[in-house]
Amino acid sequence: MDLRRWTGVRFTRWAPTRGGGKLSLRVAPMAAPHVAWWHSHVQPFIDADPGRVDNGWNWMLYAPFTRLYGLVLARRPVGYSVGIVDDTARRFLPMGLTLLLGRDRALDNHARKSTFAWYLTTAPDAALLGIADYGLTEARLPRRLGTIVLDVAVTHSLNHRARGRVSLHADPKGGDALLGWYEKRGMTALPKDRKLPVGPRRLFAPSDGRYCYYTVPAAVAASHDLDDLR
Amino acid sequence: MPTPTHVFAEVAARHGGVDPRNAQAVQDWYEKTLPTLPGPQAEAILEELLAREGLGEEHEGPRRYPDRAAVPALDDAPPAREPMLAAVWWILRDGLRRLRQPVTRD
Repeated sequence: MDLRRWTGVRFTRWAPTRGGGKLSLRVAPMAAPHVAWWHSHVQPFIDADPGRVDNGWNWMLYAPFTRLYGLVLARRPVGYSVGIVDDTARRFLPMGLTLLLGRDRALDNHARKSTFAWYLTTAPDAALLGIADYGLTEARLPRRLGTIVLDVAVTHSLNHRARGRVSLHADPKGGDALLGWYEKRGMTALPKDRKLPVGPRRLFAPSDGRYCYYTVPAAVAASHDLDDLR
Repeated sequence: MPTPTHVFAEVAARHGGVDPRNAQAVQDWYEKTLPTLPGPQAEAILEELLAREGLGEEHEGPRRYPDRAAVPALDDAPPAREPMLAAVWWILRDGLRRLRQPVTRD
């Protein structure tokens, strides 16, 4: 029996850096200043790269569901920001954002509860290197940022009685590379011929072979993989 | 994975009578009006946006960014809540066991 399924797990507090060091991180509930800063400082860098899946995203539109409704809506939307803690200047520098639906049906077993990762993004290097008065160098850039943000979804699921189950839809713009990235992190792609849980998504965005999910053992294994960063 | 921005605009137009070509008006509607709507209506909007995720971006309009926003203060980012951790459970369990042990008196 894995205890974390029953007692929950901490969010990551560190990210390894490219220079071999560690960077202090914080996972915080998404708030208006994070989104405003992201959209003015980070999103222009993302939009300059047409190859990025998150090109054109507008967090100013997505955030109200999480920020203002919190746990009131049945799907339990929740947003998290993953950022660098700058203790000297008492600042928080968001490096990744994710918007989750805390209550969704699991793809592999429709009777079970899962977390759905609706939006998930990380800041490009250029945006982090350009933060005024912070002086982040190449050597101090974080590694495994995408994995850390995906882990936020797994941790949320573990801490909210979904036992680590997470599902998402790999954006077709990301092609096989994106699908492979999720599979490399232990997710399973739902075969095209398997139906989605009952709901409007089955009609509007049916199974296309790009829905991915974590089973409970795979989620627990992925969570263990980051234990040295918690 | 994402719901395209033009879907957000279309939904705001239908539910709020907002001009879908006016990006600022759409943003304001989500920011200010949506939170004032009754829960069930907001829920229906959320469900529709979720159902229409990944439906292409061919209608995306021009991109607008706010003026340079300030870096968030650390106080604006309190750590996310976590449940009692495994270690705490073990400490509690051991404490309870000690309390249950009969006290012996000389």
